[in-house]
Amino acid sequence: MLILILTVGCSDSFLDVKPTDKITGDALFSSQEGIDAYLANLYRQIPIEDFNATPEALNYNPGDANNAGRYPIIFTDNAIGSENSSISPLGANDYNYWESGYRFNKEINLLKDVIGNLTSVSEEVKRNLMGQVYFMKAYNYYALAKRYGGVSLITDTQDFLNVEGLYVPRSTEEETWDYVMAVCDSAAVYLDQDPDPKRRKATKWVALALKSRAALHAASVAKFWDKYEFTGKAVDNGLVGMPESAADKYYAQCIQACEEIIKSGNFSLYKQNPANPNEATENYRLIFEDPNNALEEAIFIKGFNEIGAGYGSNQDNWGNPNQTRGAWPHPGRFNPTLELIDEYERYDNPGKSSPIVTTKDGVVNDYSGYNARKEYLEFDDPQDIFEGKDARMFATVIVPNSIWKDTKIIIQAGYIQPDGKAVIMADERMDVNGKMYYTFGASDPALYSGFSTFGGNMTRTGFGFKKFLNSSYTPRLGWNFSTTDWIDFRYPEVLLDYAEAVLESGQGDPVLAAEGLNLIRKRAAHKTDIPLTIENVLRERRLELVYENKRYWDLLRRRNYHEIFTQRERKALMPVLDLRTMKYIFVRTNVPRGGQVTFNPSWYYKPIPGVGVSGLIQNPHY
Amino acid sequence: MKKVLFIIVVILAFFTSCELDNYDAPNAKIFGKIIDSETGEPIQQEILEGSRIDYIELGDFANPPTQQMRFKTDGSFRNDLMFAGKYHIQARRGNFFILPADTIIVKGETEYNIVTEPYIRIKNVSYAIEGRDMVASFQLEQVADYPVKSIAIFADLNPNVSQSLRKLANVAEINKNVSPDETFTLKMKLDPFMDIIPDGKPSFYFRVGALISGMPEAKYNYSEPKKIEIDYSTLPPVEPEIPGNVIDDCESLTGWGSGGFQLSLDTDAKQGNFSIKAEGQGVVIYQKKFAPFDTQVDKETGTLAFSLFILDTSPMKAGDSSIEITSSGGPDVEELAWRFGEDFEVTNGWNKIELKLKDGRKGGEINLNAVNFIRIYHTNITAPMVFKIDNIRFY
Repeated sequence: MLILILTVGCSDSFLDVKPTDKITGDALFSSQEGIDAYLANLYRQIPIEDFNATPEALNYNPGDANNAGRYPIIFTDNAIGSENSSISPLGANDYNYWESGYRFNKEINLLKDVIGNLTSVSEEVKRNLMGQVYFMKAYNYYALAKRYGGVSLITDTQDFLNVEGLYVPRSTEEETWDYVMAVCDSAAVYLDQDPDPKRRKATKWVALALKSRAALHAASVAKFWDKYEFTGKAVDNGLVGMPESAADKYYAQCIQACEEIIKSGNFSLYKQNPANPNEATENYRLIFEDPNNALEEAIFIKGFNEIGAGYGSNQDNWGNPNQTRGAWPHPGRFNPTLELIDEYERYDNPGKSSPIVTTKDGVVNDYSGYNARKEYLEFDDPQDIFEGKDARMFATVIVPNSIWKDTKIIIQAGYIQPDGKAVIMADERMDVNGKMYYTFGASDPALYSGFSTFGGNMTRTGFGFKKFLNSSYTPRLGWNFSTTDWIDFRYPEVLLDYAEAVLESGQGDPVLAAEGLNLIRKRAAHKTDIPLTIENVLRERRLELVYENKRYWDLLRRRNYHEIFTQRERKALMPVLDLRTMKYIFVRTNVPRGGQVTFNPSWYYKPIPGVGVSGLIQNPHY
Repeated sequence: MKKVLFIIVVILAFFTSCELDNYDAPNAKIFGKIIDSETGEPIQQEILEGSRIDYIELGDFANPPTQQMRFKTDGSFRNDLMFAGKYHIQARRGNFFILPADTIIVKGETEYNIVTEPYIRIKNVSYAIEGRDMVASFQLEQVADYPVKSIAIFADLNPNVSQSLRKLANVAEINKNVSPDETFTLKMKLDPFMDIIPDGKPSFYFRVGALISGMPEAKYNYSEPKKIEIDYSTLPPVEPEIPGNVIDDCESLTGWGSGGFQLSLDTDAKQGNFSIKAEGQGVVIYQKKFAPFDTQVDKETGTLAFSLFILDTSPMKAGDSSIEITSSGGPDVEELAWRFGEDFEVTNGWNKIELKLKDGRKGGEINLNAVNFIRIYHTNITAPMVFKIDNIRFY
């Protein structure tokens, strides 16, 4: 008996039995469903900065997704949190991506290994899979390079028995960006040459858009690096920083990628010619409420098809003003700043930012609060002060007294009593000629959305958040119920990348660049073309792409974050009802309970975790 | 029995593993100062995001981390939790010339001083309350071969006041090489202090700073923090100021020209941080062409106002002289003009010039909705003079 067992045990065929708990590459990739399922798992890990991108982690939509509403939009000059004044919740560790990035890279390399051995799929499918590998590598290394500078390039699956080989030193920052450019190019060659009708899959066009974004980042770092010059070992070894001469190379790459997209005619702006600003507002809003409305403009969409942990987002929860919070207890976390509102043009003064004028002397840089000696402009309706501002503003923010989801959103900071005493930021009420008036505009917190400290639910800038919110969804009590899709690449970004690269480098076609800039403005109901200047392009970029998680990286790559944020206080606009005239006045002021915030230049690069073990050279200042 | 023994052994094992780690506690201390080699004085520092001392312990470690210490405001440092041993040490990211990394032995209580030079020495600092302003005067000795980027005055309730730790600040970008004789003045309005402490006689800490350009990761150089009491009750009442529509605030030299005079920004200002200083001898003292400016005043009631400093008026002899504004983009056409000595008087020091538009001498009809030129000239200046102009406006 024993001999028999030994004999059987020695049989070769016994060891060749296929494991039943695993599926082979060939079996998995032999059907489109199998490919889609596998890619879906990888796509989820692409470092797309969508609704669930937080300073703590990407894809932050677990069962209890409570990070107190800390999303990237409130950490720039475009917005402030209702309870969060910092611009950097985790300091140097904001948006840390090292471990997730290398985990993802390992998974991409595993797919790459499998492709070569597949026998059951066509060469065409293999080619496309290789394209997906290059695309994901490009995206992943772009995400690493913009955080850490030069990083370890691990292009193939590592042999874990070769311990010495596991320690891959950092490449220089320039080599890393060159690698990102090269894998973008490979992706553009291998991926489908036609746009995906639903914009969900990577194609040549997505690879080119990614290349444009990455090249512009690299070029800007090379050009503006010396605005904050670092020193130390990482600098001496070229691991952070690039020679200024590299800027032209990357601008050229950006220009080439953009020109290919623009000249292909594959993409255009959604509703390019609105009849009037109101129409332009609604058109712009619809792009973000449901990107599938605007497929001519979307280049790459990340879908959110299901609710629940790991699937949905919390955008409608955190974003809605207090009055339309539904069953959700913690709304109103994202408060657009007055600086952003000021930046929007008026149609009668094209090409210039148009600060909100609140006093007869026209002074707009006094933030010292209400002053009885000043002569304030008076308005019957708080909305009137915003008349004539850029259409996109009204699709991006909720202004006081405007209608959102059939509700008049009341945002008021106080009143001036008939005896002239100002009561601002205090919860009081007063009877005037038999009618009761309330400092915050209504009798109960449920009926207003501004300035009170109630629950952290009220805006403290005077503006509510609107872009991306779903107008037909009422927030429920629970996490991850929002299923609005996210546009990762949108045609206007390409047009603006192009304009910036042309201006900064003197390469490319300035006529085409100016045309792109003005196409975006025309879609926002502007009638006058403005010249191609860097101020115009940067203002347009800030406004058109606002809250699309670009601003942080724009300030970072152009190295002016520390200049803009040196002991800076963000600004608010307080609507105040004058009970003597029953008209509204507005007070430009520092955000209440805001305080001064500073961007520490060390944060231009993130610290690399675990250098004590890996022996990698650490970034400066850490 | 065996079973019981086993349990006892296991429990004993738990007890032994409950011991604290078996490393020795830190057994050495280091302290010292960063000292200016020329003056022997400590180089003033800031505690928040300030200069730092990097040190690496040279022991039997594969990848020893870089550790760091910070200076105190007075330029001293101390670390009482060091391990005795050999270290690489280097002070960096500061307001001083960086020395090569040093190798030192730390044992017991070790004193280690860093002797170098600051990028800028700040000298002869004095503070005075003038009107409703705090005015700091100081001189700078530029040690580094790069222009001074900015000068600043910082204020806070905390004695460690600095550029990162201050409630109030006035920062002026100067971007120039400075001579040790030049005196700078910077003002801070005292009214915002009342937003911090509304009444009484509060004390605040003040500090003057200067930042070098061209040196990577440079920090401000500072004067010593100075505690100053501000007695609000002694401040003069708020003067009703006539702000007007400012055609030029004289905060920049852009567009300004002169014939024979050297123009520069000067921190002796009536408004903002700067006035425009003209030094030398010639005919045209100041001249500027503007984009068309709407004065928002009319010819009957309007006034052209500005501040004009003249160090010594005696070299101005009788001669053709004028202050002119025009809407023709150049002199003498569509013009209003006023003559020195005939239409207005000037004295030594700062003059508050207020010129009624209805009294101006006409050279054609000026368009007050589109003023685009200003010129100040004098044909008979007999010796080099110093002028300063500021805050040119209409009301």
